[in-house]
Amino acid sequence: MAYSWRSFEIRRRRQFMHKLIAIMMREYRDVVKKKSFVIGTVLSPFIMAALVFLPALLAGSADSEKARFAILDVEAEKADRFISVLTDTLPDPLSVYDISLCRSTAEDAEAAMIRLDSLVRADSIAFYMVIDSSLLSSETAKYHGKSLGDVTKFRRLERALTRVVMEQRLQAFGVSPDSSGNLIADVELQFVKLGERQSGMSSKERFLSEYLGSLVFVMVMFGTIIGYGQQLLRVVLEEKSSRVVETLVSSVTPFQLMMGKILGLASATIVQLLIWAAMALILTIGFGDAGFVKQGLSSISPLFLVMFAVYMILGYLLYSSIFAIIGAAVTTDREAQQFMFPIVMALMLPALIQFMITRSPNSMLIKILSFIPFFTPTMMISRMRATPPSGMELALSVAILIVSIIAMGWVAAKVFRVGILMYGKRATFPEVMRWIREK
Amino acid sequence: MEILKIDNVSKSFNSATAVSGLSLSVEPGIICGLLGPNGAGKTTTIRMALNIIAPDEGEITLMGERSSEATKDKIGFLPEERGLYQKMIVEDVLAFMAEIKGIRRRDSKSLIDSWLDRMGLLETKGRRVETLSKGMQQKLQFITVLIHRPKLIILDEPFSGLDPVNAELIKDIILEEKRNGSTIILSTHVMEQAEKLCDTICLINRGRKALDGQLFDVKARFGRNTVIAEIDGDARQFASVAGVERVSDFNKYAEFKLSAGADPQVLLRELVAKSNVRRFEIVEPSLHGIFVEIVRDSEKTTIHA
Repeated sequence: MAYSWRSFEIRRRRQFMHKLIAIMMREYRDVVKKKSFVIGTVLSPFIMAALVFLPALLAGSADSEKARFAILDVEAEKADRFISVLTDTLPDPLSVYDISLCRSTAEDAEAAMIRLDSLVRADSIAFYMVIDSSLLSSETAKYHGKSLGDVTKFRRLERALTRVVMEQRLQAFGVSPDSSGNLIADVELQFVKLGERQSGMSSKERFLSEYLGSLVFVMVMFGTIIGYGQQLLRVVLEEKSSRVVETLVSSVTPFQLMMGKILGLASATIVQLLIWAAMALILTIGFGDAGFVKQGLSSISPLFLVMFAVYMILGYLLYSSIFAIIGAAVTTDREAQQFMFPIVMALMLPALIQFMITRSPNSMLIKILSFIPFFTPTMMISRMRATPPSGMELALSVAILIVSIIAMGWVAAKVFRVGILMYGKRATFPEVMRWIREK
Repeated sequence: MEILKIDNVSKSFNSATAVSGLSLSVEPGIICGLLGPNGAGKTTTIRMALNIIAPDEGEITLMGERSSEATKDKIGFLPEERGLYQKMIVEDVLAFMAEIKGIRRRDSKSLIDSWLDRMGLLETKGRRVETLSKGMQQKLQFITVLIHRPKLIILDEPFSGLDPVNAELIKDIILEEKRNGSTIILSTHVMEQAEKLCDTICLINRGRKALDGQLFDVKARFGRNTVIAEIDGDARQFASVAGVERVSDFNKYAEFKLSAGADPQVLLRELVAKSNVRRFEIVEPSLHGIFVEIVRDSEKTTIHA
């Protein structure tokens, strides 16, 4: 023999890799040529950016929109005081509020309200408030409008009314309106995130930003994993139903076929991430000085971005094994659909319990859930947005994920080997279990 | 050295036996018919030869090398159930199929062109597979079988779904490959084709080899005990004539299988007496006749057993 065993072995391995790469490249080309790839790659960062920056944008512009409304004072004589309390603290009240003041007697109140109703209907004003004697007797005033509108603004009106009532009562104790202002000053609780000495946002804005921010990252990760997973499923089913697989397995092993597909789609994922990274870089360099961009970016650390990419790729690899199993076990798209629900649920878990995560990211339950490999990618991203887990936790979760990927891949290879050549009917669960045990 | 040697191979799925104690050797440069009814174990045998599934027992060697991933590249395989990626471009599909047979892209370009030209498909090069007619797709699939110049070509029901013109083209290509020195294994249950094309046959029934050897040897073994007769009326009325074992009425003519040592003249006299005889010929049994006989006999044994 001219070849030694060693050179034969090298040739064999090289051949294995060439075939694997050929399959990878076919899958990769298949995906990136699709319109959905282009749209997903270009559009999702914009949606992401919009949702991350939106709270910052809203926070900045919350007061810039003029609130046009009317106050109907029905023999209460409190409207003037209310307006001054509402606008006193503002540097430029006229740019914030456009308030019309009406007074009426108790008898004319009904007629006045009918007139104001029509103004609201015509959108001349957003709403009107009715202040009458019940303000002092039972601490209520009425807000008439088509919708409640901005809750923050609603609370501000409420607070101003409260002050008016308090002043009135303090006056009864002989406290002058001037000094009562100090007595009943509102306290604002500002949230300062660990590691940051200054807070640009109030706790409410911060919560909103975190809530939407992590939701967006979870959604993007979910969309990517499900999207590529379904692509894998579709290709496997297509190869089965068109019988291309018969020809394929006469050239490559089922394992090569499966790995080629998974890795081919993984390369598409990586390319997508790289494009996003480039877009983020351009955004930072080009618009980094704009206030809202700065604020949005300040909430995203480089570690977070790296971990986002790591979790996204590992999550894809874990779930792609599951999609490969489904593809091998079923014969039609419809049969595959019934397996989608648990997968969607597992990936969307953080979104479903987002409030819990944002509120108490360090609770035991959240911690435990984030170490279950199927939840890890999205849960960890969610937690990182709220309060960064320790480096130990990140490393451990990545380690658990990698071990699970290897285990799932092993199972998938077993199922795939038998399943892809079965077309007639979908495999039952015991059958799949037997395929796994087969040597 | 044999191109393919199957040595006492068995394979069962769960409890069902697909192939049992099968041995077969295929000499280079011939066309070997792998025959058998549906479910006989032909596909399982082929899949084992291709290293798609592993035999439970026995050994398969290709050109002296134990069947493995490396030997796959020496085989060109046309599955019974054919299919190509419908959305792919013709040229890309061929390049991909060649690539997974171990041919690099830079080497496959000229091969693809010459094959497309030979099949009369050159102008479809840039089209999507799905836009091609069924016959064109079959020819395309045939290119994927042959593009890497395999020493052994395994064709599973190669003529099914082909119109006579395309069937003729494929037959010519098979013969040309044979002339070029390739070995061809033709798996089919259409006996007429096997009879025309094959040098040797191996008949499988219920996972076991029922019969194999050179086609003329096989026929000789069954002796010249078959009569083909063109007569008026129902041929089955002569089934009880002494020495007649079985009658197959093909409408235009009838085939009488005589028992060993029976005198054909007895049958001829009966036919003349009761019908109008236009043709009476003593022939070798057709492969179809042999096939039916073996399959029927095996069923009888099972029933009696």
